[in-house]
Amino acid sequence: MIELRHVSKTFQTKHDHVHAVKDVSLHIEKGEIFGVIGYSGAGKSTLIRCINLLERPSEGDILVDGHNMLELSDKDLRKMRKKIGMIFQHFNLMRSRTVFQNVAFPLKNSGLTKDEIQKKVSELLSLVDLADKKDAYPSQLSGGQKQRVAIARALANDPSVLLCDEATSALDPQTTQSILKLLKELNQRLHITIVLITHEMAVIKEICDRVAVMEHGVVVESGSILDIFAHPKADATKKFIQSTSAISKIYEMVENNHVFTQVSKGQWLIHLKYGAGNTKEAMLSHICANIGVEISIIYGNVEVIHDTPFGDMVVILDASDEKKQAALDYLEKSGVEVEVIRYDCVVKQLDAECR
Amino acid sequence: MIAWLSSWMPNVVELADEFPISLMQTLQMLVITGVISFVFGLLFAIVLVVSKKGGILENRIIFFILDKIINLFRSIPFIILMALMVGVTRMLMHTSIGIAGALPSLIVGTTPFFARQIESALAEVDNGVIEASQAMGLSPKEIILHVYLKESIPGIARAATITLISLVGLTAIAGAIGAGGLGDMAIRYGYNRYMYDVIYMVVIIILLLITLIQSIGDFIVKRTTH
Ligand SMILES: Nc1ncnc2c1ncn2[C@@H]1O[C@H](COP(=O)(O)OP(=O)(O)OP(=O)(O)O)[C@@H](O)[C@H]1O
Ligand SMILES: [Mg+2]
Repeated sequence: MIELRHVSKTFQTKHDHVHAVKDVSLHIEKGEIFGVIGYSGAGKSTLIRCINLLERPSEGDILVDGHNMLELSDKDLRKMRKKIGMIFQHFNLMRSRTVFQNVAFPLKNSGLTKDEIQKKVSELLSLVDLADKKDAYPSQLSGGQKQRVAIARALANDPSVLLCDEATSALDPQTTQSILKLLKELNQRLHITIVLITHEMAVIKEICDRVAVMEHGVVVESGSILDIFAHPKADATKKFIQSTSAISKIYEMVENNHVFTQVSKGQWLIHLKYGAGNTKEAMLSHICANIGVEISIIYGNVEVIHDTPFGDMVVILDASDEKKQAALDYLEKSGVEVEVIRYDCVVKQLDAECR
Repeated sequence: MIAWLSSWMPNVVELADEFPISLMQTLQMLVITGVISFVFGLLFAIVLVVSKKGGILENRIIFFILDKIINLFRSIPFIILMALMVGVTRMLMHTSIGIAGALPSLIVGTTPFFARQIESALAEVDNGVIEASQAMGLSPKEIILHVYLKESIPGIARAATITLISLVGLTAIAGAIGAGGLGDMAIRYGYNRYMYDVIYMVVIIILLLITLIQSIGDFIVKRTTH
């Protein structure tokens, strides 16, 4: 659907060159939601703007739907852009036009009659749940509503791709959720390919199928969400994942021998990492009921990404050694990665100290 | 009423017939100059905005030249501009006096000011909106007509108000060197023949004129701002 081949973009400033994007190659499949995550200045916006040539790459090729964007004439490029919708962090609606007029705007010269435009815009506005605001001006709308108008506008020409440049970064968490939900729905209903850039891992986790992690203009890692979350390789990726979890705090508490993390004789403190495999059963209750191990949960942050539980849990197991071992075996067999942090009063890494 | 007026403003009553004529002359200069310099000012402003660095039709050479020409003409004081333009005016209008003689200088004096005012109105259009329009596949022409101009109607109305008000001042200066109009009256009778009441009357009329322009401008701005 979208293919970037060795794309680089260098900005010439007065004093030096800024290599905003360096040799990025990506393949984005039809119908998927592809995320690009990176810290500020990583080159995400530059990269996404290269797709519709708002920014012309210095090197490389960009193919959308089989068309080499860089070889198109101005006229063909404009035609192509009508099939690539785009939404922005700051919505970029026209203040002088009503909601209806904003959404109808891209349909100028589309050959549709007035009635057809009327019908199309009404459909789009109901799609984004804003039918009642059609005569309002953007200044009378909330941020979330403005973004919905922008989405309706971006969809006016039935694009096959929707580019989202930090589309939720100016919104509060709840509104962010509702916009993400809308994007997901559009993806499923219209089979539209979505490229989304963000600096929040939570956004990626919420709706993306695959993700590319960018740092200093380079894609350091890319893959399916589950792979990236389960086996992050690049440091930047690990940092982003950590930002969505508090597990590092638990390890800090262990090191400081916090009272929550102390275990008495016969107890093990273990860290369960969900996400690697098929972990659909209610495992902890199985351990409790069938193996007979007492479990107390110290920390848990497990959520469902693509129907797979993902995250961390820290629990204390209390039973005979055999039973605890059986529980561990069972967990590992079910696809949960297990790490024993402490057993008895012994912290694994700090063996000597405890004795 | 007449008796009362003639005791306070004897010359005004005596010259009562001349006031409407002068007012018409001033209005003529205002309207003709206003319309022509609006058209050119708008054109230059658009060229400046689209050709500047990062503009939708970036062109350094065109921007540089137009920018410098506008600065040059803006820096010439109007009274000197009129003297400077005498030759050109004679060639164009076959006279250098009266309204016809004043128009070329008024237009050349007003257009650069108008262009700058409209340029800043157009520059206020959010870059993001322009970008969104490009992403929608609009052509530069469509962006100019349907985005830049449409979005900055309130700003352009504001620019026109300010420019017309300062143009009233210029017509008065032009009047002083023989263009006719209210300025001419104030100088001829008031200044040269010590008829101060004529000056007061002219001031009152100009004040009303400016108030009217400002009110119309404010009204348009209010109606077009959302
Ligand atoms: N037009 C430009 N001229 C010069 N440098 C630019 C230009 N646009 C971007 N850059 C530089 O390119 C680099 C990448 O910028 P970009 O906007 O792509 O980052 P980003 O990942 O989108 O960051 P953010 O999360 O803050 O939006 C930055 O160092 C930026 O300063
Ligand atoms: Mg950005």
